Amino acid sequence: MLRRKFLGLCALTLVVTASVTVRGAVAQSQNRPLLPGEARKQVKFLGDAAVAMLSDQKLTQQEKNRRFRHLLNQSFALRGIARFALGRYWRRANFAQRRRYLKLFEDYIVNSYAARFSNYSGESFMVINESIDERGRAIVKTRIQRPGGEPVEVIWYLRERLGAVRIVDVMLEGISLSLTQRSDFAAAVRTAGGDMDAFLDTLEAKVRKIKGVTK
Amino acid sequence: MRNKLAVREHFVTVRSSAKLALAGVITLAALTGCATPPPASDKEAMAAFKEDNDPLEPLNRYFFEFNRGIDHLLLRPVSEFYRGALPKGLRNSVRSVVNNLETPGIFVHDILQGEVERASDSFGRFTTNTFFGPAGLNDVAAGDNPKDPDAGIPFHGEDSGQTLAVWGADPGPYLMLPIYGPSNVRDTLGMAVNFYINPINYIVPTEHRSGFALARTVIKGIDTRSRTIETFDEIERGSIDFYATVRSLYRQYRASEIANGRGPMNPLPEMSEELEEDKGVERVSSIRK
Repeated sequence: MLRRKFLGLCALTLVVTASVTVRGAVAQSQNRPLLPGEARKQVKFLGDAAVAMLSDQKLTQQEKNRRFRHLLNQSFALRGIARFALGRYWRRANFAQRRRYLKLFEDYIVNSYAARFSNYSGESFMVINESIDERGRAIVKTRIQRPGGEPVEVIWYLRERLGAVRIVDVMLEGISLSLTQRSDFAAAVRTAGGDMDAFLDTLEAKVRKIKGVTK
Repeated sequence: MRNKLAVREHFVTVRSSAKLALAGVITLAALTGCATPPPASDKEAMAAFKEDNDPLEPLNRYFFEFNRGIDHLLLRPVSEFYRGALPKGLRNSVRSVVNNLETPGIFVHDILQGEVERASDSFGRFTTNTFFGPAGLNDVAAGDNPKDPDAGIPFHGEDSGQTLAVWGADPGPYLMLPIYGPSNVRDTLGMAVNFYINPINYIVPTEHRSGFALARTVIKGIDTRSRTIETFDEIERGSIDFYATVRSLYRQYRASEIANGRGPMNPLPEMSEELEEDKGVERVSSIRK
């Protein structure tokens, strides 16, 4: 009985994987330009969901983390960003190292931001405008208003891939978060003498350290 | 003549300590050495090395730790005290006065960069805040209105480093200056001449000129630090290599300041390539300045 269930699951996984791969191959060659309003909607959804999640006093930190992880995967091209952040070292990494890295990267982002959840003090989120560049990627400008504080302008970069519209970068005061991450990791891998496993150990230790602060 | 006196005045005060510092720097450079470039055969590593543009990295890292020590012992506690002791309105006034005193210099830089509209913004801000502030105590020109943040003219900064960049000067190698913090060769040169560019320095008597400029720098430093305590803590906590992160932040921030916020629409032209799938060639960042 169990065995049959397991086989069924395998078959299902195969079918899903195959369809994703086929869709991926098609999407990759076309890379659909974004339609006006598409990216704006996505960013607005993310902002509203984040504000709702943060201002909900009943949620535990653990539940907030879980929701945030979900939102992150839903709205961001997380694997793409992770790959970009590792730069040239990504190609040198073997399969197992890549898998470990992608997992750690997600934990790293989730825990870095989770530390800030408790600081939420009624910030509001507002989409200002959206523009689409010549390559069909969208740039969405937003403003985050702290009560009694200066507003912060945040710019989101989105693109379509594999049928999903996702955020690939966030800019704050002219600073790209993806690019800054990449500089940090590049230096860290170099310090580790280019040894990917040593770097991953460092990253894992960092994640554990940030987690300790949150709890 | 007055000018010459001012020059001497400015340097006499720092001369003896500068000599000492210089001797220290040379000794340190000899001890710590320069960053070792990767073998020329490794093209990617070479490209990354050039992108870092940080040949004095070991020395810079030394000063980075030195500055963190100073921050820990002095700047941060003073900034925390300042933030705790003064109400927000007063702190905003402090910032507003200092910004207002820098504005004539910013106006000169706007002109030197051929930015007519921004020059007129600076001129308008200075006259408005000086007369109606009054004396710059309130930034009335910015017209801070939470309902309509686009009303009014917000403050913008300019300095000699930015003007040199607009004129086409390369940033040169990255430098971590003791006390002053992250910089590069161009911005360091700019900092040295900036004192002579702000007309406001010439309205005070020669003997008080450098003290006046120094006081503004110190106050601005404390005020700025007091507004970035949590932000920097977070960056430090989140980064694996804090030095490299700060270097990247400084470069990007300066690039965006130089471009006056009109930077490239997409800062990561090469990112999409990497996001697609792995291509054979790695392109390094487009941001150089």
